[in-house]
Formats: sequence, C-alpha cells, structure tokens
Amino acid sequence: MTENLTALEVCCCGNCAAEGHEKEVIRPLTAEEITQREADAEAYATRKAEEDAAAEAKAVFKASAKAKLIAGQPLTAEEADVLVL
Amino acid sequence: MANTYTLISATTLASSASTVTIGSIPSTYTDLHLVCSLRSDYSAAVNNAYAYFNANDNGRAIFVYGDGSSFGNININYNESYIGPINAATSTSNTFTSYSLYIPNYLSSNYKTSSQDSVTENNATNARAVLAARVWEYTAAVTSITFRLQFSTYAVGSTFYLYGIKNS
Repeated sequence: MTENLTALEVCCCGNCAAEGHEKEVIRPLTAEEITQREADAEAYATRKAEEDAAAEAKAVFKASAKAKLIAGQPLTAEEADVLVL
Repeated sequence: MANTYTLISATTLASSASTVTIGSIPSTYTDLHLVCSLRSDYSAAVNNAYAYFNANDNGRAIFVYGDGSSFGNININYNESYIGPINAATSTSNTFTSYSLYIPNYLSSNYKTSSQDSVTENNATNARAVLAARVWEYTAAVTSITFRLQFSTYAVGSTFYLYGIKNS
C-alpha cells in the first residue's frame, strides 16, 4: 500500500486573509522531506543498536560482578563501574 | 507569574498529516510554549516523533525516561531532532501522547535551549514518560516549528497549541 504523505503548514501571521494566503495549507511531502524520514529511521536504528549493546554489556558486567562478590574475588574496573555509577 | 500568556495558534488535525509545521511565528513575545496531544496512524504501539525549528535539524538533547518497569537516559547527538515515542495505532484506542515544549528567549542570537516533557498515554503496560533538555545549534530567531514522524502520519484529532509568553 502506498502511503499518502502530506504536510500541513499552519501560518501564525495573524493576517492571512488580508495578505491573501490560506491559514492552513496541505501539500505532498517533498523528496527532501521523504529522504529526511529515511535518515531519521537510519539514525534511530543506529542509536537503538548502541543502546542495546550498552545495556547488554552492563548486564554481563553486573552478573560477573555479583558472582565475584559472592566468591570473594576482586572486581575489574568495568565490573565496579556498574555497581557504583 | 507571566505578564502575558497568549494563544498564537490552535490546530486540530482534521485529516492525517506526515508533517505539521507551525510557521510565521510572530516576534512579539519572549518565550514560546507548545502544548500538543499526539497520536500516529503507524501500525504499532508507538512511533518515533521529531521536532525541529526553521526547517533545520542540528539539535542535541539529553533524555531521561521511565516506563513503569525500567528507566534510563539517552544522549542525542545525531542531529535528528528526536523527541521520543508517541502513541500509535495499536495503543489503547482514543489515547494520545501529551507533549509540552518550552522555548525561552526564542528571539535571542544564541543557541536555543528548550525543555520538554511528554508521556505516552496507554491504558496498559509500558507507557513511557520523558523529560528532555534540548539545544538547537542555530542563532536565528525561531520562526517555525515542524513536527515529523519516523513512519506514517499524525492521526486525526492530534492537536498543536502554540502560546506566546511576554516578559516572562
């Protein structure tokens, strides 16, 4: 299904009628705006992957830190960070 | 207490729109306050929304969020003007995300900082609340604010209220 991508532009000049233009205009998205949406999706995917990787790494350090604390073993700096930061 | 708090523009979507731009913002106020009720037609529980000024991205932000079961923070350094998730088509019917953006000193010749709070409204689990500090790295006065989405369109009934505050 093809999406009907439209832009709504609202004018706040307060004098639209006198200046001879509509207060609200609906138009199709430009090619540039469509490209921007694609860039947004790509940037979001990149950031989400980084967040997921960081969360996974934190969980691993946390688990190993807990195991070492129980066993009375020294922690690495990364393991200590997840406990005190 | 603000001396003035004036409604500049009130928009309720009568048909879906991929982007909404509030333009020709008058330069007669000190601060701007945008209050929105947002929902998307995207076929998921949430959709990612974006807002930027004067048709230029180049924003950065720090987010703190919580959703009832987890919390965290996000640093936005991608110039993508991300403002967080909003309700989408499979979230509870007739629920909209509450979104508020305050832009002090929008006419200044400095970078424009702003503060945001928003919350997805969902009569189920995993509603997300977001607080954000934003900076838009341009020195021009803010004359327009544009909302866009990662996918699909803003739903009918979404509202955009822009207020001007003078001598705040």
